[in-house]
Amino acid sequence: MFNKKNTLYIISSIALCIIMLASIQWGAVSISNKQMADAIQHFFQAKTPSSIYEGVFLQIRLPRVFLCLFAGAILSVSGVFMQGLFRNPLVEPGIIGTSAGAAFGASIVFVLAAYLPLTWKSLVGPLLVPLFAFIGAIVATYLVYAVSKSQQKTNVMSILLVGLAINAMGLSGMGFMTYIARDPQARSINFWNLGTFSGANWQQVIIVFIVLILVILSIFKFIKPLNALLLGEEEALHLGVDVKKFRRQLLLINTLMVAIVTSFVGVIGFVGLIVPHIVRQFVGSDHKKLLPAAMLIGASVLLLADLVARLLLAPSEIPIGIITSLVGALIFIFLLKKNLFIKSDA
Amino acid sequence: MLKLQDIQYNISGKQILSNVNIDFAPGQLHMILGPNGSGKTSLMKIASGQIENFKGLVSYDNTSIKEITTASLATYRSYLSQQNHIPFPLKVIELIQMGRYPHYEYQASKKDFDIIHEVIDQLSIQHLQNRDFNTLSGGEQQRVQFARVLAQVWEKINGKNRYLFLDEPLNNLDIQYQKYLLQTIQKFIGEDMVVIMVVHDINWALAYADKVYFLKEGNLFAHGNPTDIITTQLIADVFKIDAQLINVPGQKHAVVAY
Repeated sequence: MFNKKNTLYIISSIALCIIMLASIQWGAVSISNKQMADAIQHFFQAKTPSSIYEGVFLQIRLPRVFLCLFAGAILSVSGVFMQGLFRNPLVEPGIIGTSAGAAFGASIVFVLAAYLPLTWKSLVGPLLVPLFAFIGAIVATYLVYAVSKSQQKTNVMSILLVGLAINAMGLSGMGFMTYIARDPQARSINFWNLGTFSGANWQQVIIVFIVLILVILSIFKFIKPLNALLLGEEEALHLGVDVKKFRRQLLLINTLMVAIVTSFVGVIGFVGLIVPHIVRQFVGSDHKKLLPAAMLIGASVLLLADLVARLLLAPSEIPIGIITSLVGALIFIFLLKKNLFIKSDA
Repeated sequence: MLKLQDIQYNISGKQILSNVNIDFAPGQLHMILGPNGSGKTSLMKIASGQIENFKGLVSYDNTSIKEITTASLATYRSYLSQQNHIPFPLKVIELIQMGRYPHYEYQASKKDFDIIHEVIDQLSIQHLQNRDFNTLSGGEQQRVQFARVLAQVWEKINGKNRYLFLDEPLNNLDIQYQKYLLQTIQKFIGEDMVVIMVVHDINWALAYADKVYFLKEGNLFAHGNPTDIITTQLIADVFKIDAQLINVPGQKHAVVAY
């Protein structure tokens, strides 16, 4: 049956495979099919890689591709979650403070890590940025939620405005850290803020994969409440959704997934906003179709963006956030121009 | 039986409802009338479990509403709110299917789909099924939402009465569909069914209601059988207008001329 939805699935799956292969092969060094096959063979035979290309393939390219896939899927799902929860097509994970909080947390580490004793640094060093980014993300999102909740029911407008304020605070905190930082630290902060997959390793891939599994499991629980919320909070309640409890659960899971991804790869803008919009044009707003499609498309889009980020100025790479924000904003304007937002004007 | 006992409700110090006592008996169509701001919608929200911070007792079949979970209440009580904007494109059939959400976990059963299609047939909205809800007219949207709440309480449940709340369901409908909707409801009311609706047109109350309740400034001003209690005096007291009740040859009930 070749309806719109199945066609989308088939085309995007094929596209995903092609982009994956391209992402593995192309980069600062090219890797041939034979080298890939050799590397996999040697890995399973527990032999040492016979060439440097095999090492690049196994330890750099593969984890990068997988981290990118999973992060794209998670950020897109997060966008769907947030837009559904707030019944607003303009919400993205960053808007409710999560990204700015993570950025502030990470910037603290970049600056203060220099003052840590060396033994400490080698022990917990690689974990510090993710840990602080994670804490910053959680605290900032909680602040947004707590402040905007003071009214009787959580109002979309108040969440957006409070989110804006908390975002500004996070960014100003980060700005201050950048200001007092020394040059290399400031550069790390800057790079991190625009997102990069260059530091991907297998540990990160495994953690993010576990998050993805949790997200997929939670999706089953969230489909019905998210759909019911499309009708309004009162309607959802009358359809048996404990709206307050659901909102808490969803915000918690969303904060966890965005915080973890962001803490590994930095702030990647616009993916969570634009992918749900694109997918809605094809499959509609039923979350049963929207969520899986958003995962698939989100993974492909971010992988493609990463490939472009690596190839555009090869052999050096530009931060992926530059690509996603620029292209995302252009697509956003295109969709606006096509008047696709007229009906979704909240 | 849905019982409201000594209901008191304030919003930031302002009294919205006071001392309201009503027994909504099954098998009947109950209509709530009253001027704007008289507490009709608050009463509906309290009785249906949406507003929780009221004083007094709301009980469904002798169980206090505070002891019933949101999920289980939704299997036998549905509620049609006044029109609400939907911020994303949504197919009509998907919207109506949501009415069955309280009855299944992940996957709708064949029975759920049968009910959905039966409701769609009953309300003659087959032609709207695959349309985007946001492209429908106000009246069509109202009929589709009505189909959803009807689907939610469509089947009998052993040992429990079913409750259908309709807050101004006739809004946006032309006269033909107002009448059609009221007739559908009348046909749908079984002996295990409590239907409570807010209406503005006293003529519909005279024609279709089994019981009417007039609210004025948060108090239950009068209630009973429509033909017994609706008088020119009552209309003058509640709505502050002079009206006439006119008997029309061939009609079982009088009509109101404002």
